[in-house]
Amino acid sequence: MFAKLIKYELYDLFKSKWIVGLFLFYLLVTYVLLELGRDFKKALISHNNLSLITLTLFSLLLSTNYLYNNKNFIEFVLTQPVKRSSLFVSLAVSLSIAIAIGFSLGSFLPFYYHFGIVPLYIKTITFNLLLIPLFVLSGLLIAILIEDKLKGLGLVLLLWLFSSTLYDGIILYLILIFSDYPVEKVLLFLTLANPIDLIRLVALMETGLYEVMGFAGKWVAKYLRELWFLPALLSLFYTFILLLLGLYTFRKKDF
Amino acid sequence: MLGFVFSVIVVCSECEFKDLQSAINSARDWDRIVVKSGTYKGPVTVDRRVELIGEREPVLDGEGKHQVLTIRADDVRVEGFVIKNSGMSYSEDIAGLKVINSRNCVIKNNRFLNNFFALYLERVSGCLVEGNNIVGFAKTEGSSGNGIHAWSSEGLIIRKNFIKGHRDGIYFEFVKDSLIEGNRSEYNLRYGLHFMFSNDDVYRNNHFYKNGAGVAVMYSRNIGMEGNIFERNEGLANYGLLLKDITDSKLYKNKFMNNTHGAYLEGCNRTTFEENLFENNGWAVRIYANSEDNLFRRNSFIGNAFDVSTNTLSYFRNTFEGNYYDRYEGYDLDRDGYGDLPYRPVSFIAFLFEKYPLTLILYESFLARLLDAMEKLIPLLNPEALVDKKPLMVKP
Repeated sequence: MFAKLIKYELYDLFKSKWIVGLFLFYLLVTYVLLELGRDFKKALISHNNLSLITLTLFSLLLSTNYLYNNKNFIEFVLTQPVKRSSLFVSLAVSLSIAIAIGFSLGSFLPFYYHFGIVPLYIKTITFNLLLIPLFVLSGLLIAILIEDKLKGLGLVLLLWLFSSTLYDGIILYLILIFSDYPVEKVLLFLTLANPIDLIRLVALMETGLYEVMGFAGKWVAKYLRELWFLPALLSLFYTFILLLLGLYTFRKKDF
Repeated sequence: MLGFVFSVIVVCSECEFKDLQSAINSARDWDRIVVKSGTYKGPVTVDRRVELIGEREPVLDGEGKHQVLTIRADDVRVEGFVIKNSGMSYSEDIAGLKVINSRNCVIKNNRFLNNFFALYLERVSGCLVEGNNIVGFAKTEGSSGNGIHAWSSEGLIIRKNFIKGHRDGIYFEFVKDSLIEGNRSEYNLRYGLHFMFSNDDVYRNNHFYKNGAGVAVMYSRNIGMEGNIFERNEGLANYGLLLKDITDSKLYKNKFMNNTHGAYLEGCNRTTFEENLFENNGWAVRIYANSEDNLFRRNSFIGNAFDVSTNTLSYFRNTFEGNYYDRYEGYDLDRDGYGDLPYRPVSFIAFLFEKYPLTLILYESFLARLLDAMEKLIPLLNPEALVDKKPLMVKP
């Protein structure tokens, strides 16, 4: 049943222009970055930064929209003997898979065209993929909690703004306030608590820029070198928590 | 008479002279002493004008106890030896080869291995040091000496040597009118090349790789630096080139690549930077407010995390003119080769970092980019004087 659900949802998603648009967007952007820059590392960092911003936004918007627009379908499926939890998980999985395919294919092809197979960009793209289920689940959660589509989308935008910019703003502010105190570890932990920052730092490490970054670079590197699996683990952990939350609200929800 | 002038003394295990010291004792000025291969024990002192020529690399061994070879005469030539295992001392500067109060010595094509100081020049003038291979095994700064150490000397030529694993590769203290050329200095604990109170010297076409800091020029005047490569001097507080309290110097066509700091200027005045390349450094140029009247012209800044960083907002008395920056986003409508918009090489986050080092965790984040973009529109924090009014459009 679960596989069938995913099949139908994926079919539906690939029919919609969203995913194709996503694929074309990343294809074009990555191609232009590589054409203009001609410098592998620079293009990689730019691509990573862009993905961190756009991928989260797309994941959020696409998942919220999907839930709002397919309310009838969901209500129809629920009249059948289908477990609520498997419906929710199938939604999250199929959305994540669709976005992941659009993003990774769109990014991979230009890189491959220019440089062939290089582990470095494959690594960064993979790290970026970790963000997708996280934000898909957040988007679904918001859409379940809030009936009003407009309000829901507003909240999604707010969440995106918060995680991509405001959170860093708060960290910056904390650094300025507590600059006289030894709060490095706390602030590092706070930075790592935000998946977007986490993956940005990992990508910076991977491209080797930290080696020349002096004090803070070395210091971040020291922790992230030893804990290279931490980003994957942390994102999985966040994903798991969001999944539980989503399941709980989806079960409680009166469709 | 001629035989008297050019007499040759041979030292080997089957010869008349079986050790070097007795050969020197019986030699006269201008004699040539040829040493065949084999191992000879130090210490040896040279007190007359002789040539010491090693055939097939004879070894002079200090056995870790004393200074291996000491020269106290003019016009001495030392060529083709392996000088190794000098003693170590915290109170005395023990060296593999020490030249004292001498003129016109030639130290050529020797190998120095595992010495405290390898080559020590004390009150020497007009000495040529060429093609030596100097390798030490320094572990801490305190327990190691320098590769080539010159003190209170003048007119030295240090050329095409290879120096590795000492405290400083080459150290100049009170040395003037000297030339350092084509050397390679790597993996030294402190500096690849170090000037203290030395004036009117030139170093060019050297390669400084993976030292604590590439080159440190301190308390010196009129130093010429040309065509050197400063590479991978990276670490917590490491520099490609450290300029501290120096004046009237000139840097031309040097390459700074992958250093934590490319060039670090503290109390550096009236110095010209021309046609240098700064590539992939953390900070290409870091200038402290007490540096004045420096001129940066036709340099290239490519792929650095920060092009220029400074600790001052108000007082900045240096000139940036016609440099090339890969981050420059301007255009050239009148096609004169210079961008029409001025470029401010200090970025907002670079300034923040100067004050709050921890902000570097936000490097390349969306917020940092946003703030940088805002800073371009509303320049509040940039030092007003730190601006390149004529940035180059293409690399010089």
